[in-house]
Amino acid sequence: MELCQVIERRKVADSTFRYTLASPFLARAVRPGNFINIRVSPSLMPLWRRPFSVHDADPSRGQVDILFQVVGEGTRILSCASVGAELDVFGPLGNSFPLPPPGSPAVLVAGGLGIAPFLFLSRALKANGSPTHLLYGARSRSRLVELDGFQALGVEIRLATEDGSAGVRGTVVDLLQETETDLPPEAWHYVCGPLAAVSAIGRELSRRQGKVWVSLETTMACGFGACMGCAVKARGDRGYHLVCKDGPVFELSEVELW
Amino acid sequence: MVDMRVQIGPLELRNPVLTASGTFGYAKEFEGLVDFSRLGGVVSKTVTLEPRAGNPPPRIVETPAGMLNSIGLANDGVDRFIAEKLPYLASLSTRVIVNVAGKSEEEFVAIVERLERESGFDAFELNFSCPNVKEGGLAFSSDPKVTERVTRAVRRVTSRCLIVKLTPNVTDIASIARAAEDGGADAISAINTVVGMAVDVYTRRPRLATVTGGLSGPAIRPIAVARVWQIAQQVRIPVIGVGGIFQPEDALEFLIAGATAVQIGTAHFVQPDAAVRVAEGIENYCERYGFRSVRQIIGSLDTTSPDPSGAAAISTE
Repeated sequence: MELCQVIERRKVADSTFRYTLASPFLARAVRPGNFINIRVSPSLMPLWRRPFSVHDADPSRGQVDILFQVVGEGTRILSCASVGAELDVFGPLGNSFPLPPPGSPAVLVAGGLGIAPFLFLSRALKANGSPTHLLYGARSRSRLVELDGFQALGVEIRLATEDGSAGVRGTVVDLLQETETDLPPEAWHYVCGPLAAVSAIGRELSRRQGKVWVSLETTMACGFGACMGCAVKARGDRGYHLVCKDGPVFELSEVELW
Repeated sequence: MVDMRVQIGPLELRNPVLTASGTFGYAKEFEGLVDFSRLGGVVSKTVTLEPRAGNPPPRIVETPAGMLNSIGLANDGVDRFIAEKLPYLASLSTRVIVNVAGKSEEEFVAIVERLERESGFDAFELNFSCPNVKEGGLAFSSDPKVTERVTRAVRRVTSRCLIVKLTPNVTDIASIARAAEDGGADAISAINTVVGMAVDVYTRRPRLATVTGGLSGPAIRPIAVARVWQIAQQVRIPVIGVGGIFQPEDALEFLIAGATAVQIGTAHFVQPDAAVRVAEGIENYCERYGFRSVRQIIGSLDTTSPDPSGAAAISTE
């Protein structure tokens, strides 16, 4: 637990923010896929910390970034923090994305704010020499965020919007079906987004070869395996996994998503 | 230097602050986050004879100043507890209390007998009061006769300190506490969670898969303080106060109302070292107000002369 100062606050889309936090410790310790838990207020409402996947990290400058959308009271309070404010941060938490063998390709599939952990992952994939493709779907063009960052890392980007304002018209699942033949079949796939999107994407990818890693999002009270509240059904007859401790990254075959 | 020691039956605690079952895992989860040697003790998550997968999700929901949970006593069973969890607990430089539950009197006796042979822990806490399991659970501490009978049966098979944890979801908790005392309990812990429910009005579905769950956190603290106060007046054995303690002042409320020790629960999810901070805060309070021993505070509630201004100077005489 440490107090981290907000050193940059950017509104990147309607009710969507990118914060840069000063934390030399976190910047060194975080791995792509990890999350941090922020206590947005010292009051008892809301009671729990809020989990945010690490959007990017820069060890040389001692900074970590989060990307979030206002969806409830916790994120609303957080969105009011100004530059200079100190946030009570606990992390890094959870596991991280395994990387493919050096030089082998990767496909990132993001629905909406599921884009959050992929900038940091793209950085690691670039260092790994992995040609990286991003399939990214959102409601409309104005909801597609952080494209510059991915471009700068040389990621090949394909877009889908539900209203057709950018890329193909439809969801990221439609995009995935359309691009099936021209993406490297042996690529490792990484999926992140709302549970319903991850489930639909996972179902489509389960028919293909190549490893599939999903990053899951659930309600969490503690974030480190103490409350056992964030259970997700394990595939087969093996009870439950905890998203916070066993995840948030799972191999698709480990979890029952549909 | 304040004397922070308290006595729970045969067991002396370094200070009156324990961790509440189900909120502190098996301590390992808090390694590096908490200096265990600064706690009075840790209480394990509930252990059952057979492994339990727990309830389907959603298992938790945040509520005003609290939360509902319905974990369903998820645990790996007593054999794996002994093999995988107990050695770490035993290595801690603090008291270790193992919380157990059973579906029947026979199961309670069986699990206590199984654990009694093991070393590395100091006390049992009987979970008579989980609201989230279909069988048993609540039933054990809703009926004074059953409470007394099961406590007595367990008492026969252990020489360790025996604590009975009670539910607030009854009409007269003090009568249940007396029954546990008559059955041979060394202490009572109160309260377990309060049955609660939340509804998603947009889908018109319950927000927990099990529909109802157990409410914890600061929202239940006044209920818990009242229960502890009621019990403390009716039993001779120590009472351990549990329910929504986040700050040292919260714990002091329980001690003043008659609790000999307290357990910190839900606060651990927000502030993993909450129990250590509470213990420190109690010590600071004693120092500041001239109590040489924390025991001077226990049950010191003054109900004879309520101060309408609420501003009376504290007296240590």
